[in-house]
Amino acid sequence: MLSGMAGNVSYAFGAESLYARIGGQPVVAGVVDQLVETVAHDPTVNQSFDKVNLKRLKEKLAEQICALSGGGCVYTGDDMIRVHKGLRINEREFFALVEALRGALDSHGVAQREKNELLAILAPMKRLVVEK
Amino acid sequence: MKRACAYVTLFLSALAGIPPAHAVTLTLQIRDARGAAVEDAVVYLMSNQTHRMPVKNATLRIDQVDKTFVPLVSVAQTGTRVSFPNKDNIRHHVYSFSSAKKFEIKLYADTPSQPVLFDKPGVVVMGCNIHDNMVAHLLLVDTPFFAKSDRQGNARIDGLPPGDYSLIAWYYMRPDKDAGVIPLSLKTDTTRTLTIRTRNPE
Repeated sequence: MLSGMAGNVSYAFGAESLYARIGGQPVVAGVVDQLVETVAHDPTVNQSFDKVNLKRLKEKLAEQICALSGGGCVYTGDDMIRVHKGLRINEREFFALVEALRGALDSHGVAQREKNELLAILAPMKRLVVEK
Repeated sequence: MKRACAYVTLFLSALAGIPPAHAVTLTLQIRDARGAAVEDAVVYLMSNQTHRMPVKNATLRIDQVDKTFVPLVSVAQTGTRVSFPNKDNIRHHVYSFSSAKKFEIKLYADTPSQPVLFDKPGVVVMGCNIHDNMVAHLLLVDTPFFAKSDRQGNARIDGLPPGDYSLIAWYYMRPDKDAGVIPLSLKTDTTRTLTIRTRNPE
């Protein structure tokens, strides 16, 4: 009985999408909310968020993470080059956002393995985001 | 001889349908109820001819500068095409839900966009999906005779054929109502002070 349950759990664990393992929509929404609020209010990186509609940004970001992590969403925003063009984002700002994301994932109880998987998916975007 | 020439000129102008040489100018000093100059008030003149007149300035620009629409208020004749040049080097996503024109247009850095045709009279309020608080107001009027007041509250309408008109004022802070309507018989250049309602009665 016990081993049967363990078997089920492990089977489900292996088949589940990263999105589901992170905790699905509620956790991703919470992570995105904390991430955006953190960077939008940090005076060392927030010039890119000046006057930006943060509600829309959070919706698109959550949608994109859902799409990239197997949650079945379709991302309806612009591509990463168009989104960031002209903002002149540097490496420091990029890594500040990565740190804020790490912090948001930690405070929502996302495990190390899932955290690393998600960061590995997002990391290649650096060359599309950083301008100088 | 001089007089004969003048007669001939007058006769030819009448034949060619050219507006009479003595087209008049209306200059308005627009004030609010307290007597202060009103900037960005729109004034236009309607007659039983004006809705049939061809579009005079068929293009208009509403730019985006520092995440702000410039100008805040515009007026154009119905049938005008408006371009959105985007001086900001970041993207904008302009939209309107107004019944006079529902549209959306994505403006990317370094990518010119097609002008948008405004083919119905009325008020169009525009925003930007990407940036909060960006707003522009555009009034489409069925007449080529319109103007917008400057910082001193002055507005000038040139090239008016003499005749009887209705002068209508519109102010973007209370867009659903005329800010004032007065009949005006224009024979010569005219200067008037116009007091308009800039806010709803409390």
